[in-house]
Amino acid sequence: MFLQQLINGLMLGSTYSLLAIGYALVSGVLDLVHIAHGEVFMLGAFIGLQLVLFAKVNFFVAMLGAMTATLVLGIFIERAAFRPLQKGDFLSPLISTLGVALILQEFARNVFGAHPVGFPASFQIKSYQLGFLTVSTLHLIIIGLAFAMMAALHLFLTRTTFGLATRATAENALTARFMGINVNVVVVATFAIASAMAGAAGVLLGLAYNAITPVMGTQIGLKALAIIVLGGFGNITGAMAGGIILGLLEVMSVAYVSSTYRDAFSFGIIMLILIIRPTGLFGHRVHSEQ
Amino acid sequence: MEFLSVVALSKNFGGLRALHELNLVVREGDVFGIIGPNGSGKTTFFNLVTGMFPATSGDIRFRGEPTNLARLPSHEIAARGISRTFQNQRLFDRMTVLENVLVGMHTRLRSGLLSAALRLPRTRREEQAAKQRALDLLGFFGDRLRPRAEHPAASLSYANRRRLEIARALALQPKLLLLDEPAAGMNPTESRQLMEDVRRIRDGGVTVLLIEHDLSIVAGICDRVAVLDHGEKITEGAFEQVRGEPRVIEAYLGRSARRGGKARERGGGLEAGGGDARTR
Repeated sequence: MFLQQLINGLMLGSTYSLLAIGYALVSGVLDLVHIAHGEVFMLGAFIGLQLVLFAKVNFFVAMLGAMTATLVLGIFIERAAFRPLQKGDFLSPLISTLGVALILQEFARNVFGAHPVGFPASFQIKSYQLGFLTVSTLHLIIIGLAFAMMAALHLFLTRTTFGLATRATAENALTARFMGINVNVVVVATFAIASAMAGAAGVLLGLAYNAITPVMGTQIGLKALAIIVLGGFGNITGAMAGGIILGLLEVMSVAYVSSTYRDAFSFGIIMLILIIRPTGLFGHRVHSEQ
Repeated sequence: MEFLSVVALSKNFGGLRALHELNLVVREGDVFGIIGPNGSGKTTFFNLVTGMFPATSGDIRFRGEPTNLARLPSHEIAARGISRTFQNQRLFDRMTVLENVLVGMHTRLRSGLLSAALRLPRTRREEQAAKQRALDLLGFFGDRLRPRAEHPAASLSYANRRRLEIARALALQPKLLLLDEPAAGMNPTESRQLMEDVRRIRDGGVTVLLIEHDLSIVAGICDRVAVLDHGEKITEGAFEQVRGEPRVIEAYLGRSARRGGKARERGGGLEAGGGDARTR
């Protein structure tokens, strides 16, 4: 029973992680919070669903399509809601992305309707019985894809020149400029990557829970924010761990505490962890300069 | 063709005149010192040359190119061969020592995102070459940095952090290197070593602009100096020539010097032996 919850929690947690590491990347590079990240996730889920329903493509193609669409959306958000505000107050981008979030949400409500919708059974879900444990193809696909994308991001950041430039920008954008790094290009690429990952996470979570709604971005956006703070603001590894932790907490609280207190329970635990470790699990960042 | 020519360069911050109508010519191959009391505009000048902010007015021309550097963003200036270190160190502490140098080499690496993703042989060769060159740059400081290549930059000692900043700046393969108080906080042995390092950098074909408070270092390595005070250049020349000028002494020591203070009694000049000139 516990092991079963562990698998379920891992499935939920890996989609949270996928969403949150992109969020951490954007937050780290810009030192800002991008409120509409959850809405990008929501639109990714809807676009993936439309592709399956109307273009009749298979699930994997739909996911690639959703990622491409949210990638473009991310670049657009950077242009419209971040770049023009670079010289403004640090709260300006917070408000402008809040505006983007509302626009995307109402757009989704008007175009797709407010009722929860789900993916049709577009592929055969097989279940494998391993002793007490039921592992379905759904588990395997979601966990596998989420971890594969996170591994790809890790390799990108640690093994490529552009990844190195991205990390340098995240650590200190001002110094990065003097090292010949075009920070604007890094920021655009960061938005594109983070948004594509959010789109993928939306499709995966939509597939897992079969309840896609225009407001799901708000709730999950707050969760992603909690995750990156839990992991240590702007820390990629921390965001990944934080996502898994939140997924496990939610599933465990439904299984062992009460389903009506799921979010209260998991956020209560996050608050406790933050009281003990105010900089988050992997936070070691000290803002001394700038 | 002038290597670096600065014409009527000014920078105002609101009502504050940080730099006013600065004219300066730096010859290729020199170690050129920028000296003056705190708040005289030295770092503002460095920030203008490296594009931290645009100039209020004036021109900066590099190697006879028609482009005015005073209007370029930092990363384009860096790509043209001007790199710098910072007065308050700005290493990437969350990266390793080696990675810090690799960031400096960013502009010289040509491989794009796609070739990196596909792990093309050319990319792999370039990466290997870059890593080797980064290690060589760490080797510039003997065994101070190279054995610590894989350590986090945050773990380095103070003097080694300053050395790593220089190694990282050299990774950009600059023609002009700006060092902002490289000896600050170093002990006399480390300072002497630093002078030797700066000479080796110059002998390697890099022109050096140097801000330094330690006048013994200025006297030891600078071919020429410009003295700034209140954002204006008050004189320029070989350090031995300018150190005795009354305006220089006054700028450093204030009005007490004019009334026959310390500097006069010692024989009428800034002391270059005793080290720190921050006597105000």
